[in-house]
Amino acid sequence: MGALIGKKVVQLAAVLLVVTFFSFLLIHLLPGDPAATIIPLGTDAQRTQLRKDVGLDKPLVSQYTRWLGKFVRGDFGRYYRQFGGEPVRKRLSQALPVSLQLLVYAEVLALVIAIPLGILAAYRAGTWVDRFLSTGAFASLAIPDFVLALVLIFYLGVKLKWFPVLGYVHFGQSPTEHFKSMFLPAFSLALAQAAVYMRLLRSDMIATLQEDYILMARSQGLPTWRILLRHALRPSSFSLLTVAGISVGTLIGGAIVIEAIFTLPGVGLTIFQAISERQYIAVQACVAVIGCGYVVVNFVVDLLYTALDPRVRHAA
Amino acid sequence: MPPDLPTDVAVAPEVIAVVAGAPSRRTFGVGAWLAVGWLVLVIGLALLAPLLPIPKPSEIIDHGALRDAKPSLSHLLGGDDNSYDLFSRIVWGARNSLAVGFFAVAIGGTVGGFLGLIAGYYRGRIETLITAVLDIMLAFPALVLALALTTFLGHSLFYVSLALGIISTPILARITRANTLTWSQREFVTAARAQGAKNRRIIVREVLPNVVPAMASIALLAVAVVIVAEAGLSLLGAGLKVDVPSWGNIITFGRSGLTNGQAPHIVFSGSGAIFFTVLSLNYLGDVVRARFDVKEGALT
Repeated sequence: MGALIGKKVVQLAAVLLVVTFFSFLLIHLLPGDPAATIIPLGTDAQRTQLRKDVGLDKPLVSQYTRWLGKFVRGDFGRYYRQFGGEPVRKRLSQALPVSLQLLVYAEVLALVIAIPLGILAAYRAGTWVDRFLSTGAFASLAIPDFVLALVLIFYLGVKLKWFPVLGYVHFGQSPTEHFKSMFLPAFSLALAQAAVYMRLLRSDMIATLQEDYILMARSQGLPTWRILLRHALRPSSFSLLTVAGISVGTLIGGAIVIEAIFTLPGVGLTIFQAISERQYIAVQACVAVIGCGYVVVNFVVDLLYTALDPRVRHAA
Repeated sequence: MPPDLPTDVAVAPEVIAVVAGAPSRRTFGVGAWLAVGWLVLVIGLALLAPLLPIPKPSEIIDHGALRDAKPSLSHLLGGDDNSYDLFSRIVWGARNSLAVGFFAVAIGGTVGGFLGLIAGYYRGRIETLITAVLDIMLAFPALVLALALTTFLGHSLFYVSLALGIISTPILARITRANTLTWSQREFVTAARAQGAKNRRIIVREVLPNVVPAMASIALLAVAVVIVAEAGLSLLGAGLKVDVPSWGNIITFGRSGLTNGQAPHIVFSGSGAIFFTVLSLNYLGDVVRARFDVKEGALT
């Protein structure tokens, strides 16, 4: 077990190095002189400052080690503007909690939708209920999250005015308004995930329901809901939880677009604004932060999986 | 909830098929024909766009009178915020969106297919190396990788396709490798080797034809993913240049008409085009997978 974790940590370190190196290299993909591209309207003094900040005059490897050294200490560079350029870190530290909230809400919502429907579909397998739910799930998978977001904005936001169509409200400011402002973004992200989870839980649950102990429980006259929830759900939910962990990554990608659509001030909106303002240093920092975050999340999920599943644990 | 648990599910053959992970959509039914029909329609319109009797996509209709206009007989989908004919935008947009989808998956399929075949057939160190590279490519959230590339490289059709091709490479490489692994151990491969066939010949003549169905089913899904990603990139300002008609750009620039409630049909047209195309591609991907009994379990 210890050796396995050690091996995984080494892998993690290697992947993080590659991810940061790629993010670092992005600046060098810019055509022409990076300093001129990053500050197109800047003065020579500003450009010299930038070259010094980024260390453009040094060889590539020492540029990278310098950049990495700053990056791990939380110095992500700064915005380059005519007047005042705040550190990227300041923006990101405000943005990160919002993105994390969105991800958690979306994941919870997806599970809340998927578990009852998955149980229902499995319990009624082969009937019209099952067919209806499965077709619905298949169709939901073809709806891109941003399309769902825009449709919901139009009908529930613009027409019915049930939800605000953009903006973010702090939880501390007003909990109800907070959840109202987060519901549409979270739901837009959650639906396709819920479809994946539902299909997974359904097929696992159908298998579980054929086990002898279910028949046993039935012969003891236990109520249906109790058999489904207490006896069948837990053994059926293993692959569901694994996939739920893995799909945090899918959500991170989707959340960027969703934040941009709803102008939720998260990392996604930060990167969107940085792209449109051509703040390349900020885009680079966001890419590196999201990339590393994603790698670490996957690492943690992998570890949990190893710790939870005796088969994986002993295979190692 | 009804009191009886369906313990009789065990006898329903359809359910058993699902439990065994076997495909339930074995036949080429109505759904598949609808999907094929939609794709033929869209691809046909896209290819014939310059010949169709429709306005040019960047032709201002009636000096701006078609601005945000609702769909009508003369302009099937109405007008957009620039007073362009929206149907024409959708058709020309299909040209670009499908081109990105096709080129990206062609890149991903060629590079990924090559890597997958090599890794799965030769095994050993080369396989370790290739899987490590693929794992690292998958270590980035796909959309972030793509937007990073287009932001720094540029927004031409070529770069957008290249960026999306890079993110589809590991997906196609993995399925190719997994299937190559299985097929390489079959008797006819051993037979070919016993007859003195060279590795190259075995890969191309014996293994590849058997791996193609699996690649095709994933490639169909990958085209769908790429079309969605193209639109996602547009929404982030990291997709094709703003004046290029594409489904993503149509949605992006229709957003103001949606939020002010004046012209939601712009966003809905672009979204509808994406939805039906993705649905068709997903469905056909499933059909191909069911038809050729592609084992998804082999993915890991």
